[in-house]
Amino acid sequence: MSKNKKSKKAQAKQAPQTPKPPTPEKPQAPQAMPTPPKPPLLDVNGHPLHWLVRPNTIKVLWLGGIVLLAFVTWLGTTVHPHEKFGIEASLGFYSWYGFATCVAMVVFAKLLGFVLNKKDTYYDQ
Amino acid sequence: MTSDLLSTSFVVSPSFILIFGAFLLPVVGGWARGVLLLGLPLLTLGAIWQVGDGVQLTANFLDYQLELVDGSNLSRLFATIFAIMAFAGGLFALNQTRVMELSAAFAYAGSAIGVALAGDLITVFMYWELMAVGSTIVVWSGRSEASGRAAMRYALIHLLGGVVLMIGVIAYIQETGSIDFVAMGANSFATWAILIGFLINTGAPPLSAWLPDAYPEASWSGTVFLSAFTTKTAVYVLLVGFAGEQILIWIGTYMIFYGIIYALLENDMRRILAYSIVNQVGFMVVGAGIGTEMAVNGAAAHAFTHIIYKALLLMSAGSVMYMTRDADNPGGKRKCTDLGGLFQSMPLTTIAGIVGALAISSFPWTSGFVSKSMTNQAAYDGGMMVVWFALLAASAGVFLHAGIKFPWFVFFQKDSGLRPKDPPWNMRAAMILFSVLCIWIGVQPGPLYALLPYPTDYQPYTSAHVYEMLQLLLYAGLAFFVLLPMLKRKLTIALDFDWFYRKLAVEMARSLTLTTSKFLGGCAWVHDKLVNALIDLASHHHNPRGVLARTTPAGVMVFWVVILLFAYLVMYLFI
Repeated sequence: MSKNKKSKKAQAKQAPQTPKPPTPEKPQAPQAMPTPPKPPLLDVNGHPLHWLVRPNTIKVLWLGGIVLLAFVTWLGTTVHPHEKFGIEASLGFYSWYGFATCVAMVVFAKLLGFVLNKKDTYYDQ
Repeated sequence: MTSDLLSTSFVVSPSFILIFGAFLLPVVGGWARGVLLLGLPLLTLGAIWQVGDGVQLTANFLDYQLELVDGSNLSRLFATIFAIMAFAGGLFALNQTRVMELSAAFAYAGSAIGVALAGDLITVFMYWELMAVGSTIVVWSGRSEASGRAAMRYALIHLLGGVVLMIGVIAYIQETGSIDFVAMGANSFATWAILIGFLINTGAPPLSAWLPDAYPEASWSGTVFLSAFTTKTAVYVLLVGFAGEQILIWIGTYMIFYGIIYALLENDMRRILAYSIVNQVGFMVVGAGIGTEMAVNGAAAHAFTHIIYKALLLMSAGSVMYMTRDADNPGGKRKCTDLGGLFQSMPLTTIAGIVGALAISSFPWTSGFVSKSMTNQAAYDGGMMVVWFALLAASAGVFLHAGIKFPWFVFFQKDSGLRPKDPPWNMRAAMILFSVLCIWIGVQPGPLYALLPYPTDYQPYTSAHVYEMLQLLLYAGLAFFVLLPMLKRKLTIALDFDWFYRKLAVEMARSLTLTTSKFLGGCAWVHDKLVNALIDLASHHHNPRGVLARTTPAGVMVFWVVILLFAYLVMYLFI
């Protein structure tokens, strides 16, 4: 019984489907259709964007920068470090110390800015 | 006067060439002025290199014998770099039409050389005050309302410093009976006053704000001169008089971080560089405070290289200003928010700015690397852990606030659409000269080391040292680009100590004036009321019908006399 119902439903679903008309043959495309050239990226003056600030260049610069960072960190491991205070001889000390202290300085400056920053016409008023 | 001069090898001090030559500049024009602008510093430089060790020129003043020229390795080093700076500054300013600025700048440079060669405190003081006058005129020559006000504030601070110094010098002469400018140490009222007078010119706290307030208001060429002389002569006198004074280590450390933090908050490119002067002088003050031979050498070498790369950075900034002048900005554009993308049309200025930025960051193979690292090394060798870690963090911070921030916001970042060309040939030549010097000293530090006050065999280019510095700086660069959204500039300034005399004191004076005028108004009202009441009273009693002005008949008087006599009789009889 249930099988009949399912089969009827299946027939009902199939019923509205009309047989697809035979697909007409595609007209032969010309052999070498040139793709339209990408419009050049423009700067604010409407001139072509300088190569140094194109998105692709910036990606390459980031990638190269990361490789350089890894390279100098590795270089640091190839020499005998100074050991007067102990911590400066730890692995990658100058890398993380440089990064961490800069983050601390920027965050501190930002917080100080909430208190000290005024409009640059402050003293003219 | 000539008979008073007891010269051994000099007729005049080398400083006189620039000071008196400065007065010739307004009276000549065209190519002759150009010749003087370039020739006078070279002549001075030649004279400085003729100065031998010891007292070379004396003059009598009151009861004292002044030592106008007293040579030493340290004095020749500072005098030499001051003369080189005057030459490059003159070259950069060849097309400056404000002759007053040029004259003042040359007198200012000559006075700085005078301080460096002076052997006694009175001569130091006289040149010190001449420097204050010359530099004030340079600031004032910006010829804007802002520069006029800034020059006035600058003059007040330096006159204050001069008065403190003069008190110290007089007290020192009273105490010791000597005017010799020698190592003294802060151990009495006199020497403390002298130290404070010197420190005011370094940009030490709490009065650091005079420097970023005044220097950026000068013209495109004026700030180049200003960056070199006042603070570095102050470093020189600290090295002579107070090397090894412990308090200088902490004052210098404060200056280092003060400069970084305020530069990070700043939007004006020349104020960024002005804050970074305080930062860099802080390194030198720390070196003076450590006081070892290595530290003194480091501070002196750093002063030498700093003058070159800071001037280069300010030449780069000055070129941007010079080429972006318009009706709205007659002095040129200075704000990071107005600039950006200039590398496309100003390649040479950009490269000069980047070379200066790398040198100030102590990047290997630049001049900053071979000089600043000596101070760090002195702290390390002395086992000063806190100081060494602070200097290391500060080295990263310098790359952050000046090494990347300045070139990034001026020449790259968002495209402002501005396409100014590189400046005229003389400005380009000055930038090329100092760029070459930054790299040459970085690659070949030997000649600089040979000029230092103490013999040194310091080797800056060890593998460990180079790799450590590269790690420190490149990761500081990473921090900059990761945190770039937090560093985005807005049209703001950060309040500094000068708020107390630019705002609070003004508001207090205004409030006092208002209160006083109200009080005086109240007094006048009370006075009027009192006088009117007195007049009314007098008028009441003395008017023609007043009780004291009425004529009384004699009968009335007799009547009252009788009454009084009767009362007296009654009392006599019954009481």
